[in-house]
Amino acid sequence: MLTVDALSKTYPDGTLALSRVSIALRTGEIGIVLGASGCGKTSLLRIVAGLETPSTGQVTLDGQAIVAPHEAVGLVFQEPRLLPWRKIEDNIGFGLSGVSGRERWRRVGEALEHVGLLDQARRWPRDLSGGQQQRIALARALVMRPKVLLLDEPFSALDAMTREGLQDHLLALWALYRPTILMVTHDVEEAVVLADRVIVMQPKPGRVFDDVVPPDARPRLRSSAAFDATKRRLRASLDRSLGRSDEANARDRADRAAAIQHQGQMWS
Amino acid sequence: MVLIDSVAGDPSQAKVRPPRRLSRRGFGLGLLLPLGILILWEVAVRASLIEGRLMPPPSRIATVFVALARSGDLLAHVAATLGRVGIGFAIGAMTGTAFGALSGGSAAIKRLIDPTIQALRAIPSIAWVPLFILWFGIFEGSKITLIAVGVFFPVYLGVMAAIGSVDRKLVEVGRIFRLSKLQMVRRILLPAVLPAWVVALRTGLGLGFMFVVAAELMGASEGLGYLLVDGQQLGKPDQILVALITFAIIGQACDSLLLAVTRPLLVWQDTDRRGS
Ligand SMILES: Nc1ncnc2c1ncn2[C@@H]1O[C@H](COP(=O)(O)OP(=O)(O)OP(=O)(O)O)[C@@H](O)[C@H]1O
Ligand SMILES: [Mg+2]
Repeated sequence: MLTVDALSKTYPDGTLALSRVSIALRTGEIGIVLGASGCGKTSLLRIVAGLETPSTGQVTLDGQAIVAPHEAVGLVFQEPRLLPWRKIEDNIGFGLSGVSGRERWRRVGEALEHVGLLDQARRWPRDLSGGQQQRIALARALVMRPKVLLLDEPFSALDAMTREGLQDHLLALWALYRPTILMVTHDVEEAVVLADRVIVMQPKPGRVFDDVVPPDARPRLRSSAAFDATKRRLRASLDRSLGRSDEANARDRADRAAAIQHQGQMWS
Repeated sequence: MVLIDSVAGDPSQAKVRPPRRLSRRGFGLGLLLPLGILILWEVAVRASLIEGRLMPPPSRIATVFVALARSGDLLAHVAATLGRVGIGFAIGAMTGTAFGALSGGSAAIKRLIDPTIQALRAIPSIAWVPLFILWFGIFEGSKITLIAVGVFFPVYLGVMAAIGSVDRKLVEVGRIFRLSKLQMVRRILLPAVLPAWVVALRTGLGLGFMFVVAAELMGASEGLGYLLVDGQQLGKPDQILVALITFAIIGQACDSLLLAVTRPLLVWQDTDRRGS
């Protein structure tokens, strides 16, 4: 059980990034934090990871308070952050320094296999594409077998196709160990694909606005009606979290569509 | 285990290198100009278009070079110069690295020592010479001190800047993996700083050679700088040119040596940028 209890964060410069955020995830659940840019998603994850101290409130894992990076908690940053001076296999093995040679290579090989990049083991990070690097970053966290996996928009820099592939991949990996996952995204569809629960956050200051449980079981087909319904439900919630009415949003969208069409005509 | 081993031998992982022939042709092209000048020079002297006494032709320089090398004199002068550069460089590089690491590693120490070091840096190093001679005598002490001072500043600045600009994001990776302070230095900071350190050392080495000339010009009984002074006083431009050429050769050789020694630590860097 991972609990985030009445977490607030004020940065030294006075920015109030989080205000009394509470989230509880059962062991093995996938919780998705959905919110617009600047609503404190990264701040939340960094506090849960123990990289940042909260101003008030606390994070507990199975009743134990987390105040510093914890061995049972893994974090994948928004960027791959691979160490450029280590080959791929050594990047993945970075956290395994306490594990002896043979066992270490077995686990690194396994992690590489899980992200489908076994053939890249001996290359340098710079020789991999952005999507491949992000998969290595995921493997680097997974190889530690964390009880809790924190993911900060890990796929946001990737194109739609790669992203969808990685989302499916993540689900398959999750099914192997069932870690508790707390993942941040601003992509509604990503939330619907992955989540047991979606926590919608509201900006200024960041707080929990809505808590949505998609009704249908995974795997959720992107083409299904239920998928679309959940998507609409989340989008509406997200819009309301930004203080905008549904009609205003509908008008906005229509205007934008018209503008794009107009441009298209001008160029054709 | 087995799977990983099979990856090691995968031929598709072999690094793609730029075709050799192209770079060799580029090298040949670079030789064209100096060779042309040498030939023109030789021809001009033989045709008495320029005066060979002041502008000794390449053939004469080569003869003097071989003669000096044969007698063992050249080797003795090179050894004297290299010894000075070696000791001065070692002292300057070590102190520069140590102080740079202190300044880069701690804001408090930086505030304490950096202003003083920057103030000292404002003094052109050669201006210290009279004082160094008074303090350390006319012989090796003052020479080596001058070289060490010349090497110190670029190394200090390079190391300090490199530590200051270590990617904080990678340091956070270390924190997430719960590295101790020592592990953080060994596994994140050192490898991150290494490329800039090598650049700083190369700059320092270059300055070391510059200052060894200054040191030997101000009075020495051996060394390539002595050959220069001696050649001037006795009116032997061929000897001066031999010394200059030797400087170029050993300077380049030392730089290449430094690169070769540190290369294994830097293979992860872009091969294209290496050796620039
Ligand atoms: N170190 C910091 N110092 C001061 N303010 C900060 C710091 N980090 C974040 N903030 C502020 O806190 C707020 C929340 O930032 P945060 O990065 O958590 O948002 P986010 O939801 O992750 O945004 P995005 O989707 O763009 O990544 C922002 O207003 C930001 O400017
Ligand atoms: Mg963020």
